[in-house]
Amino acid sequence: MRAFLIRRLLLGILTVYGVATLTFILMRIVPGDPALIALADPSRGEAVPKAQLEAKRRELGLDKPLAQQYITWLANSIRFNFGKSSWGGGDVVDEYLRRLPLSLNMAILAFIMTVLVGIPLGILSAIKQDTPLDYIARIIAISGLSMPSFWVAILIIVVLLRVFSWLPSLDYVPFWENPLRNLTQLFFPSFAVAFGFIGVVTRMTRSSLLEVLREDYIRTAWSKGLRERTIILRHALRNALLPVITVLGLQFGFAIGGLVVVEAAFNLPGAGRFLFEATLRRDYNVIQASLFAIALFVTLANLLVDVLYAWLNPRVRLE
Amino acid sequence: MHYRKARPWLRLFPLTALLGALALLMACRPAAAPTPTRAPAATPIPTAPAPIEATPVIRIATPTPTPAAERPQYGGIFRTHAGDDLVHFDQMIQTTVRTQQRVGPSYNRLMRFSFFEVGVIEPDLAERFEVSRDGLTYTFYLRPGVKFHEIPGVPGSGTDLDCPDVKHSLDKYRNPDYSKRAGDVTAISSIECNPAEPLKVVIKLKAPDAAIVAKLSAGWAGIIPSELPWERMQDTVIGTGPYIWQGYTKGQKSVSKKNPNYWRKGLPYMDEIHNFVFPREEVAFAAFRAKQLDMNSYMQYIYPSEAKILKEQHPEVIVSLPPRLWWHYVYGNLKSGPWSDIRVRQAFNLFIDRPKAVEILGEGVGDYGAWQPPWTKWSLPRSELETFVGKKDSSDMPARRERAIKLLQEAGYSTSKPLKMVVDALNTRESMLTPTYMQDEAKKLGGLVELTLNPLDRAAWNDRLEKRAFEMQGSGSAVAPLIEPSLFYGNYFPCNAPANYMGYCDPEFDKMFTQLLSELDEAKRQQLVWQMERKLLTDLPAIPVRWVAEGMAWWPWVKNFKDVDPAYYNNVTMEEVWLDRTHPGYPR
Repeated sequence: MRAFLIRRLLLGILTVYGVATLTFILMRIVPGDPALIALADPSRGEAVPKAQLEAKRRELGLDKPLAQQYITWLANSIRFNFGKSSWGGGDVVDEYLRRLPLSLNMAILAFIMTVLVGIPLGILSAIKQDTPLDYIARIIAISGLSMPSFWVAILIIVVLLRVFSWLPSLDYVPFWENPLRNLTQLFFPSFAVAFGFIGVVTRMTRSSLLEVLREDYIRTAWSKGLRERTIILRHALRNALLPVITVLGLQFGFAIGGLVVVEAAFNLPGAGRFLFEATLRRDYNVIQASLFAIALFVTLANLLVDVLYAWLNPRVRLE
Repeated sequence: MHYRKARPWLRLFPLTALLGALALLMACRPAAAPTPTRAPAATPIPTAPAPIEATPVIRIATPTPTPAAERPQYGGIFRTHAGDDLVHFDQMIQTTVRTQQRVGPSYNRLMRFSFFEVGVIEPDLAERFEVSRDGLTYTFYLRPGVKFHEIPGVPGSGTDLDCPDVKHSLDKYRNPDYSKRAGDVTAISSIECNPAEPLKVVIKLKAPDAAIVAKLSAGWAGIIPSELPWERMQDTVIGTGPYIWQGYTKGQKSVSKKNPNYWRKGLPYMDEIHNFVFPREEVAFAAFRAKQLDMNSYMQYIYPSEAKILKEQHPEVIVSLPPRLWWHYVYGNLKSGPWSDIRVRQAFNLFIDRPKAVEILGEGVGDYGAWQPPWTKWSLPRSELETFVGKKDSSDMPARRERAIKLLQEAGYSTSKPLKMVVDALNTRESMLTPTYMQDEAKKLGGLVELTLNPLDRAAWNDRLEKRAFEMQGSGSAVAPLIEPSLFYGNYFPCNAPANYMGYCDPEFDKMFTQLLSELDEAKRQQLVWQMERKLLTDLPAIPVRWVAEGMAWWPWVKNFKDVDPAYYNNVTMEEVWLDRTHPGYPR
């Protein structure tokens, strides 16, 4: 187990730095000058004096050779120093950490919604196979899978606005300060994220449960005269949930990185919107730090799922 | 199969979930607003620009707040927005509207544009001023007893306003290393103070400048304490204005609080201004409709189609769509490629149907003309203007297209060898309109011109512009801060102009421009401007397409606000604005 963990952690670090290096190279290939976009808006006729532009480039270290920029970034990133934002000059780590609680809050809420809705819906769909209830559950699941989260977000906004003339609050209130206000603000954005996950989890739970329900040991349980509830919850579901847990773990990792568009749609100042805006502004340090963090989250979620899987399923040995 | 039997707890699950979601939704819904007791005055959406005074009227008297029809109320938090995040707070470097709107309420200027009348300049920190006979010396007399905001730890906090503060601020304004608008005030040679008369400011000019007072009244000409180093303006906001800066949270909002010691007694009315960050305009518009904002932003204005939505769904909302100092144009690279051929430029000028552009792109609101706002006296007389840019009813378009075809044929293009150009287009909603329209118009020439749009995000678009790596630019657009003719040329057409991306350089034009800066006689200035307009419409370094009219919207509980600033930058202090918190629709 220990050897497995060490090996996976080392591989994880390599993966994260691989992502970071790729990001570094790609951002330099994409056209756009972070200094220029921070200083002027030529689309409204603004121009910036050459001296100011050069000074800004020097300040951002963009005047140095690419290899030197990369080595500096690499050396600093080991100490978790990701530099300053070209748009406003704030420390990237501070700015990211300030936005992270909102994104984590949303990801956790979306995860809870996924578990609370996706798994029961999958169970219902399986035990009521080929009934209207199953069809409804399958329609919901397919909708979740086929509708991108930004589209769901737009639909939610339109419905809330046209029917209720209401939108979630503009000021973020942490859950521990005012749980009700927090939930009121983040319920709908989280649902926009969760809807797709619900689709995945419902489908996975359904197919996995259907498979398990056809196993010999379930037939034995029926023949023993056990109650349906006991058979489904104690015998079938425990086994059927193993692949679902894998999916859920990965979804949580992706949720942290996948909030980009939903946060932008609801104007939530989270880490996702931070990355989205940084990409438009070519804010290299923010993009690199954000993708570094996302890669880290996904890698850790993967590792956690593997460990959890082994813990839940004694047949799996981590070697 | 037994396991298909549903248990009651399973059967009830969907219903419970549905009821739970519905209950949460209902809890989120605000209490139904009672029907307004009095119907607010209907605000028609203007379809044609109202005339604007071409030259600012300078009123040398203490401004009196326009008496509101109702009794002003104190208190309340004013919620608005100003688009994207700030890079920093220095309004002389970040001259965009999003900076002016956020930091503007903290500053005063020597003089200011009236909040209630278009094109009227009133005293602000200066009680009055005098001009020497030769127009080279301006003496401003400051108000006594004006103090800077008290912000602990900030240099100059709580000090008295005097001449060195003004000198310190205006020296920054005219220093190109610390001000993006330094080019506007190059006429100033020195700003002088006399320790014996601390409230007297003497500004000396190298050459007369007809617009110097207007330029000193612009939004970014705010006065800061002399103790504050210029660099600190990027992270500090301190002035003498009606609201004291409390802070800015990136990605969220800025907060300013009422200045209890504001020198204009009894003002301001509101307790706080919260200015939210909305990078996406459609999200901001939704927030406005949900009453999360009291007013929309100059930065992300209301389109005529949105104004219609507001009037249909929220008839109580006040919408104004006045003409602005914002114009759209297209241009190419004069140094190389097809745009260097005058016949190609003439053809483009001929085949673009401008009245239709106003109808389609401006949704019927706005105007078209040359480089001076068409509703001012600086614009060429309409009859002459139409010979260059087409008739109002588009009746001359068939003939213009014929002439365009002829010119292109003379330049060597044919249907088998069409003129092919790549048009860079900024991929925002507004900026895609003109290039898309031009592409459609070009198709009417029977395959003689093939334009390929190259949509780019802002960073890539800026990059190609700065490197002059474009063949043609379809998203040319510019904003002037004041109605002053030199400001519609200065940034774009003189040889060394900073935004002269097309590469136009004509000594004759530059000579006329220099002359315009120092000419004080209004009639002579007008003649000179007309000459310059003719010159640009003949040389055609760029093709003007249309002038924009764009909207502001505010809820009826926002009182005493008038949308009188055609330039976006100059009506930002909000000191006269108050909130009617007894209004039945006011969100509590």
